[in-house]
Amino acid sequence: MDLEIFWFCLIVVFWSGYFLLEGFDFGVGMLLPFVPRTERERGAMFQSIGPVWDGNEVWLVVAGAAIFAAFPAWYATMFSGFYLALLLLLFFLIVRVVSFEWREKGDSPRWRALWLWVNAIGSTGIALVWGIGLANLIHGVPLDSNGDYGGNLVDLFHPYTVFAGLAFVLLFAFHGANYLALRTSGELLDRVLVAARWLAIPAMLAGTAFLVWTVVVAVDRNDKDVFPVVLPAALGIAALALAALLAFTGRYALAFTMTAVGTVAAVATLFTGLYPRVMVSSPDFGNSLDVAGAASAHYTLAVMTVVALIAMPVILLYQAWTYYVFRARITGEEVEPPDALAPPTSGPAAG
Amino acid sequence: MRVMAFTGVLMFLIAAVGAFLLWKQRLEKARWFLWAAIVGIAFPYIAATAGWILTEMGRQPWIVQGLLKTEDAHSPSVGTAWIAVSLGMFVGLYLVLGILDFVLMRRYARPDRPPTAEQLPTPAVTY
Repeated sequence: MDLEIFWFCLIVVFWSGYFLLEGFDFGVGMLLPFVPRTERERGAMFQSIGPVWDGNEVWLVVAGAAIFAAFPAWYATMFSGFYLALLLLLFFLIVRVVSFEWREKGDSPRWRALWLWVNAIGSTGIALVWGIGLANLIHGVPLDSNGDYGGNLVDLFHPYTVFAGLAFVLLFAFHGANYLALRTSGELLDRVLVAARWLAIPAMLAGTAFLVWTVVVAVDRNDKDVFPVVLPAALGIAALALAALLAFTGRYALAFTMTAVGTVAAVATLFTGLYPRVMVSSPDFGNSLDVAGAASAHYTLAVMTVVALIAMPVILLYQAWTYYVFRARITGEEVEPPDALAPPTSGPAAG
Repeated sequence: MRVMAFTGVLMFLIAAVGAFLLWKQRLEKARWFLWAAIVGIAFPYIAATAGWILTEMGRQPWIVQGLLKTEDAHSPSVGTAWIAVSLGMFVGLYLVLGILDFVLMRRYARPDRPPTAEQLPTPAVTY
């Protein structure tokens, strides 16, 4: 197999991993204003993703870096063409990160509500922008013969791309509810299960419509045949239907597995529909960027392959270890820290 | 370069004086030194920033020495206005976050601060 095809596939794996993992912590963020009722429950929801969200974000960094190194022409066109969209995305990413750190640094209800909403809006915004951004790769953006983006921010909004953003939001909210069902307990768990049932049907319908629409766009606008693209789309539709069914019957571990499969299938459908191009040009289809034209030199790709083969198992191992360490259900109860970590309970030195 | 070297030497001197005072067991009592150490918090940042400014300015007009000029390296699809907008966003955002950070650190540094929920035994969560 050619190395550039290998790297295209690897980048799809990175995007899939990113949305599979970070998708549920975006979902938890979106549900923050609606599901918990007490301060303790809000804390429990933050804690359910607290130790893992930044590890999940590593996948985005890797996906971006892999595009930069393996397909510099793709990176150059996408990151300068989507300049304002990515600026907005960075804004959401930055304020969301801060919300995790600062919410517990103050006691006033207003302070805590502020950072809860910052997290919720950031999570929703990131999912929306990514949905719109990635859908534009296949829907087509105005490129000139030099591969330079000739549009502006408004050119990224089409019915298909905006719908893709909304589908991402609903899918991740449902994915996040299923994750919370695995990680919470007590009254919070009861309300999480209600939320999962509320989200199941809308997420399934939006996901299905997005997958069907993606196949149509791939055929109409990217000169693809129905056949290979329809396979991941069908897998995704089946997984989402099963996820909804399982959520209603309370089998949330399987429901979470199915939303994970659905998320990966959605990414796979997008990129299968995109291949062999990496960015479709519209209206001048001939200016589209393709895998061969955007790729780095063979030597660069060979070096990257060696690095990736060494680094990937390490990343997978430490992330799996993180999830293993924090596998217990979150009760929201107060936990006695180990003696070595206990803050001084008396004396003037406290604080 | 000179700024980076000066602040680097100053940091080293502060550390050396601190080590000497620690050895003499006078570290906690030497108020003048503790003040100097607080001023010293800024030095690593000044040194790093000065170093960056030096490398970025020193290699002009190249962005990759000998290969690519800065004037050829910018994105044609990103105009000056959008660069101003993005720079403004980052400056504004980090200004707000920096001020909030300062307020929080000040609050936490006060010796008479009442214990917050975080100091009480809550789940030991570290991110």
